[in-house]
Formats: sequence, structure tokens, C-alpha cells
Amino acid sequence: MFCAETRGLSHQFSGQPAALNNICMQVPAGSIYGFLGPNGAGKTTTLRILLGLIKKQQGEVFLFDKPLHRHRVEVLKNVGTMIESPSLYGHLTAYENLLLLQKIFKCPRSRISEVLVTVGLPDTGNKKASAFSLGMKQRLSLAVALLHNPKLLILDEPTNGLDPNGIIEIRDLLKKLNEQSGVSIIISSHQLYEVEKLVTHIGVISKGCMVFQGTLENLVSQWQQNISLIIECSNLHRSAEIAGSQGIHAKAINGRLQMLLPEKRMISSLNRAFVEAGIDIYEMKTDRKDLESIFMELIK
Amino acid sequence: MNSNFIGCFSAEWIKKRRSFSSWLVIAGGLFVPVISVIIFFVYPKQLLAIHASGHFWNMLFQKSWQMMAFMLLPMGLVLAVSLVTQLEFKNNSWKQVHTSPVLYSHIYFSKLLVLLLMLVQLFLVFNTGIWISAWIPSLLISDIPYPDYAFNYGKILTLNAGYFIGSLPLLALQYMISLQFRNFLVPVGTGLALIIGGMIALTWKYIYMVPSAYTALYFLQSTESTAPAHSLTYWSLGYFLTFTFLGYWLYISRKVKG
Ligand SMILES: Nc1ncnc2c1ncn2[C@@H]1O[C@H](COP(=O)(O)OP(=O)(O)OP(=O)(O)O)[C@@H](O)[C@H]1O
Ligand SMILES: [Mg+2]
Repeated sequence: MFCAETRGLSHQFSGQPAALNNICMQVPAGSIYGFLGPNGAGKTTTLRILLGLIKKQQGEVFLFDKPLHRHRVEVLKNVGTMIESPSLYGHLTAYENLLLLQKIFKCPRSRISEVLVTVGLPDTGNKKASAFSLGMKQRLSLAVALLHNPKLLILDEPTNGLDPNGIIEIRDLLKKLNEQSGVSIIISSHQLYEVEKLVTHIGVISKGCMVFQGTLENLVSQWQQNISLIIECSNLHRSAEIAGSQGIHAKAINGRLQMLLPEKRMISSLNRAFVEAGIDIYEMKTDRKDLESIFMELIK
Repeated sequence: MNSNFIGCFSAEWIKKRRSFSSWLVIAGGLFVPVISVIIFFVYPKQLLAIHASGHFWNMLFQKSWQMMAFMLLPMGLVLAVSLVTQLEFKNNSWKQVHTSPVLYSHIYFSKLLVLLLMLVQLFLVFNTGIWISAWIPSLLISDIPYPDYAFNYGKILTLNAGYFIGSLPLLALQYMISLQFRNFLVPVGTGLALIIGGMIALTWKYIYMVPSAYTALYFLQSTESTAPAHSLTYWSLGYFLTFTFLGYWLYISRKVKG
């Protein structure tokens, strides 16, 4: 079951190239889904359509397996949101900002002070939200999203403006909510490392297209399939022949020998053959990528 | 009323706390009475003349409403309505409003109800203010008697009801416009242009079709003894319903909701 799903979502703002192109987002229930992409990739646009804030042009949107446009009010009861810049009433206090939502959600009033403690804003008293620092506003926005104990949290760059401790705090909080209460979370970010430790699934969007979706392990193993072995040696031509005689297809690229990473056994026998043929080996390495560079490659 | 609507309305009511528009209701309601008090202190004869007229409350209310009906009330309406919707634009909070589990109709009509109740508040403050503007001078100036005259509640109520109904078209029109534009200057500019246009055209024979002039027209009607040629009440209510539902339709048809 998916708690949020889009099928073939495409969108174009008037007079501009397509902002979204056939986005099929699938967020499994119970997951923490990192929605990653560079500036202007279409993260916010996707999330806004997912919540019905922008009228969808093409495709379908489901929340908890129900089409959004027919069950909007019903499904939104279980969704907590925080989209882009904080949306708080500057002339009201933190408590009042939550109080007005408490009237709508009809949750117990005690929830207000509970969530304020949860996000680390227990005593702002009469201070108005407009006088809050960016990080405090961000925390209050998170409290707004959490107030009614939603089953799905949709957070667009929630750690924007938080101090390093705050980022860790929020990350721990989200992890706890997910593990203890089974809250599903969609969290968008520019940076993989920001959410790497938190997420179970990721979707990578670049220039309006979903370029990867799945678990982190999926991502790594998918890239592991075509790692190259690169060898720098004294005789390029001869070494390529030797590799060929062992059944390995090797090419000379930039003055180095490059081949698809063979099994370990093959590497050592290849090495031995080079030494026996009097070829000096200066460097042997793989182009195995870490998660970060895979990500950078994806969004290029 | 259904409990979801009440929840939505309570939320809207809380948003108004300490907002500029809620101050405007008080300041707008007390402005004319304060001016009156100042005038009465400088020219106590004016108040004495009202006392001597034999229709004390009638005259005082007419005098006060005159200032209110032509400029202050319509301008206050334009400003206050625009400020209420501006709250959502300014705080980037439409997206929060529209991802809450409430029907769009509940949002629209609870905001409208807030505006109507603010108008009632304004009228209450204003009427109380008028009474105070007669009472304070009697306390401080020895020549001026305490305004101890019979109070014709029915008449005052009818007068207020007339102005209230006359305010509705402009309120709904302003509500409709201000929901459409993020830029505060658009609704305020349009509203002021309509009011000034109405003032200039006050003697035009089709002025009864210009909703921004209705409170002024009502004042003129209430001072004339002849029966009016056109029923402002019907025109007002007709415009009010038209603008309200047109506004609702425009509101739900917005492609971007935050
Ligand atoms: N209201 C709008 N009108 C026109 N174009 C828009 C509008 N909102 C977004 N866009 C365009 O859509 C594209 C995607 O924008 P979006 O805000 O979804 O990006 P993002 O991934 O959230 O970026 P960021 O990381 O900077 O928040 C951009 O090219 C942007 O210019
Ligand atoms: Mg964004």
C-alpha cells in the first residue's frame, strides 16, 4: 500500500517549459521517503499538486489509496504539512497559531503544549510569531504539522534555517515518530547527506523528471553493476592484448586501461600475467562511487 | 450549523485577534464620536443647539452618521475587508488553510461571517460612541445638561439596519476582489476608486445602481421626507447576494491555492 502516490503527473506553468514530466511517485506506507533534487527540480511543485494546492493538469494523485480530488477533506485529516516558507500568523503567539488549528482538527487542547514541547518551543509565552527567528518559525511550523497526530507528514525542506543541533533534533524526532507511531514521512531536500541517515526510500527528481526511485540499497547496487577497473601501466597495447587473451574486454581510455570490474580471482591472475610479461603496474583502482557522487551523477 | 463549520469559523475568529483590522473596527467606530467631542468642547453652542432642538438623539445621530456614511464607513469597509484577506497572503498561510481538512465553502463563508460580525461590532462601537459624545461634555462643561431624553430604540435600530444593509454590497464586492489579488494595493485602490467615483456621481440619475454610494444615498434618503424612488434595500441585498456567490465561484476556481 502506498500512502501517497502520483501516476503520470505532468505540469506546466503558463508560458514556461514543463515543470513536471510524468512523475510517478510511490511512497510506501510506513516509510520515510526522501524526495531529493536540486533547486528548481520540481519538488515543491510535486508536493503542492499532491496536496491539491495547485490544480493538477495531467495525471492522478492518491493519498491513502484514495483519489485526492474526491476525498480531499477526508484524507487531509490524516496529513500534516509544511510546504516551503513557514505559514504562520505573525500577529499571533505560538499557542494561538496552534489553537486555531486545534479548533479545526478538534483534537484535545492539551496537544498544543505537548507539540510545543516536542519541537522544543515550550516557553515563548506572549512573543508573537513574527518576532521568532527563522529556526523558531520552522519549529513552530513543524508543531503545526504534528498537532493532530497525522499518519502522513509531508515536509518540504524542514531543516531549512535550523542550527546543527536543531537538524539532529528534528531528524531524531522524525525517526522516533516513524518507528514508534508508524508515521509515514515525505521529506524533501537538496542534499542526500542531509537525509541519508533518516530515509528508507528515496525519489530523485531532476529537471522535472523522476530519475530514480527506490531504497538506498537499490540505488547503490544499481550503480555497482557497472563499476570499472582502471589500470595505469607501462605498456598499454600489450596489456590490452593480455587481458583479451584472458577473455576480458579492455579499452584504452586516457592512456589507461579500462574494463568492467572482473571477479577478484580474475584480477589477481591478470595482475600475475602482466608481471610475467614484464609490464610495470603503477596504479590499479576502481571507479566505485560513494552515495554522494552517485547522487550528483543522477541529477547532472 | 454543522460542527465543522463552527470549527472553521472559530479558527477564523482567532486569526482576527490583535490584527490591524480588529483595531480598525474600534478606531473607525470611535473616530466620529471623538471628533464630535472635540467640536463640542470648542463650540459648546453647537451641542446646546442640539439640546434645544427637541429632537436631541435624532439630531445627534443624524450629525454623526453624516460624517460616517459618506466617507468613513465605505473607506473603513474597503480597508478592513482587504486587511482580513491580506492576512493569508502576507503570512503565506493560504497553503496551510487549504491543506486543512475543511471544505472550501466553509473557509469562504466563515471568513465572510467574520467580516459581517466585524461590521456589527463597528456599529455597536459607533452607537455607543455617539452616546458617549453627548455624555462626556455634560460631565465636564457646566452649561451642558445630561442627555436625559427618551431613546427611540426602534428608530435607531431601523437607522442602523439601513446603513448595515447599505454596506453589504461593498463588503461583498471588496471580499471578492481581495481574495483574488496578493497585492494589497489592487483591492484597496479599486475600492477607493469606486467610493470616490460614487461621491462624484452622487446626483447622477442612475446612482442607485452604484453600490459604493449606498450608505451615502441612505443618509440622503433618511433626511428627506419624500419616499425614495428606488428601494436601496432590494438593490443592496441583490448586489450582496450576486457578489457573494460570484466571489465564491471565483474563489473555488482559483488554479493555485497556495
Ligand atoms: N508559480 C509559478 N509560476 C511559474 N513557474 C513556477 C512557479 N512555481 C514554480 N515554478 C517553476 O517550476 C520549476 C520547479 O519549481 P519548484 O519550486 O517545484 O522547485 P524545487 O525543486 O522545489 O526547488 P527548490 O529546491 O529551490 O525549492 C521551476 O523551474 C520554477 O521556476
Ligand atoms: Mg522547493
